[in-house]
Amino acid sequence: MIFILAWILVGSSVFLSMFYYLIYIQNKGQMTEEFKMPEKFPSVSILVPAYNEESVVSESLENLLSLGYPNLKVIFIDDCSEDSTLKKAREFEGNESLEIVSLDENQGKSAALNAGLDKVESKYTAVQDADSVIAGDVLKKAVARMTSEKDTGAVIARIRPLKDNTFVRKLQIVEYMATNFHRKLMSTVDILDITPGAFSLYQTEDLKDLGGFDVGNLTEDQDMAWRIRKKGRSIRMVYGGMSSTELPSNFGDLKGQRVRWARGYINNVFKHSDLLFSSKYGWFSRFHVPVQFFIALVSVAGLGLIGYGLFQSLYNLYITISTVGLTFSLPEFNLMKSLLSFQWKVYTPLFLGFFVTGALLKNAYKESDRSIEHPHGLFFYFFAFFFLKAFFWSTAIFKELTSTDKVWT
Amino acid sequence: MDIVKDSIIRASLFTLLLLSVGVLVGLQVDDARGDYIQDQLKESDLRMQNFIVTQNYLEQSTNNYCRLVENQIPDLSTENTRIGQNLQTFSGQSISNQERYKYLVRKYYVNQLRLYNVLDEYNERCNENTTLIFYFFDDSMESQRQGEVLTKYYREVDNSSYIFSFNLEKNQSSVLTMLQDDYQIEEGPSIVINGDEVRREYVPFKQLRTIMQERENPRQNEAVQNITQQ
Repeated sequence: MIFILAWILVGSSVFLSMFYYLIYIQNKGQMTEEFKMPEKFPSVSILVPAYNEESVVSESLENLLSLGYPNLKVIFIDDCSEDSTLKKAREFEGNESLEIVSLDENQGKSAALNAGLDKVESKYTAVQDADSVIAGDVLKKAVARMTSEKDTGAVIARIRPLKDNTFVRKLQIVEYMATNFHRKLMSTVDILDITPGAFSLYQTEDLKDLGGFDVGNLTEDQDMAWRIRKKGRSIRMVYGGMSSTELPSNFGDLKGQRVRWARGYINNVFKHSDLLFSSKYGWFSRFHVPVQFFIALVSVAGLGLIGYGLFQSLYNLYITISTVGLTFSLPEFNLMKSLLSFQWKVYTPLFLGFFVTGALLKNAYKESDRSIEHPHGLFFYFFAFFFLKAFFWSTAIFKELTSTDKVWT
Repeated sequence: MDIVKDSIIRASLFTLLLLSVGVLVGLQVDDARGDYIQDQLKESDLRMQNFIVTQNYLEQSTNNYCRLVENQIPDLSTENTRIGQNLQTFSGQSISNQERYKYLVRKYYVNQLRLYNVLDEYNERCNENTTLIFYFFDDSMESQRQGEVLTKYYREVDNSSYIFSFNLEKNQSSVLTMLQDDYQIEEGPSIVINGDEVRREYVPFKQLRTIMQERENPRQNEAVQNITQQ
């Protein structure tokens, strides 16, 4: 049983790495994209919801108001912040492109976005977290991408961390670099399923038709992305555009964020269960969503497997200590015996699979024009991040099963 | 064919190929495990035969016999212990050819009993009191504890003792069946000390030491009495 589980775990990881590698090989030339800029840029509104963001709000608004996009409106929504967020935002009030919406009570991100959406009259609506900044040309590139294919419902950009001052952030730099690369590949074959809060551009008509963002949803951006896909629209990416965002700086905050994401994912899978295996929405629903969910569950089972091994070792240690006290003796090392004791049936495909994952990661670096800036982060990402993610998923499942309150962190 | 479908098929085939390579390597390693233990058993067998032939040659001289045993048995015993440990380690590694594994276990048990016989004879002929313990174990926690106790006893109290382990969970051996019948052993842990003291339960460390001391004392008393009489 354990052996079969280990095999499924290794097999599914190898499969996914190989799948994306093949997608990359077949689309190598399309990683850098050139989309024709429209002669007249259509109107765009950017919704910026904020709750207690006093440390970043000025920088964010300054960035958005200096984008140089010809027909732009920035709608800043203060979700009843308890700090000086609103006060700092009001310092920009003289700018005619800015509109500030102040909510009387804290209602959560989705409700704040919906309050902003009510004010939108433009053709396109972008959503950007208050702790993010975008590069000057991102909006234009996103609009160019949106207008170049008629069935595009949303456009996303590359995301990279704003700061790299802690190990956890360095780790996320590697993770985001790989994630952006995967998203680009997903976009290429039209299975992209996310419109991140750091920056996404939508058709205003779609957002309004769909009744705005789902209030109370832990991952309202993903829910919106899935609803857009269900509307028959595609989500695409501008790999050349970059949005920088504030990321968790320590493991505690990272855990809080990722558990929320995982819980949101689980809830969205149940909410949109009609998507699973449905051929109606193409490979996105027939393949991508079920596989993503399956891999997450398998990773949890893998963590259980490791936990079981750890438990057995601790149990044996307990037996030894409780029987004869704490004893220590160096085990006799025999290379041949050690090699023979290895579970080669599982480790052989795992080691070979590492080459595929390594090749994919190498190409992710190459395509994003980056060098290995954080080798420790890369090492941890390659060998241990899987287990960390599995831990977050396990926690999320536990919290869902025990109906722990949903908190937006 | 569209790219996604094509990639799914190719990635599935590639994954199957890698898993198959894993199975093939695993099967090869299973064979290598069997070969490794078989080589050790052959070596042990050869040494034992060598010992027995030499023993027969020296049959008439007790002094030479005792020296021979003292010289050769520790190596034979160490080798046997190592084989036992390897069999135990590899038993969880799913040796694909289970019949071969059972054969190796049977052969190992034969070696164990042969070594026991040699040591028993040594005790008698050379007037020695080397402790010989049969240890029967199963998958129970108590068996695991008994194993720890015997290891500690060997390491800390009497490293000239010999412990012969038999796994009751995988009894495919007539030697083990015979021993079980002989000492009426049904489950683990059970120990038999020098063929005459049977404990069919878990014996903690302190109790084992007391038992051993009690077994030592009559001999010492006997020796004191002999000296006094002389």
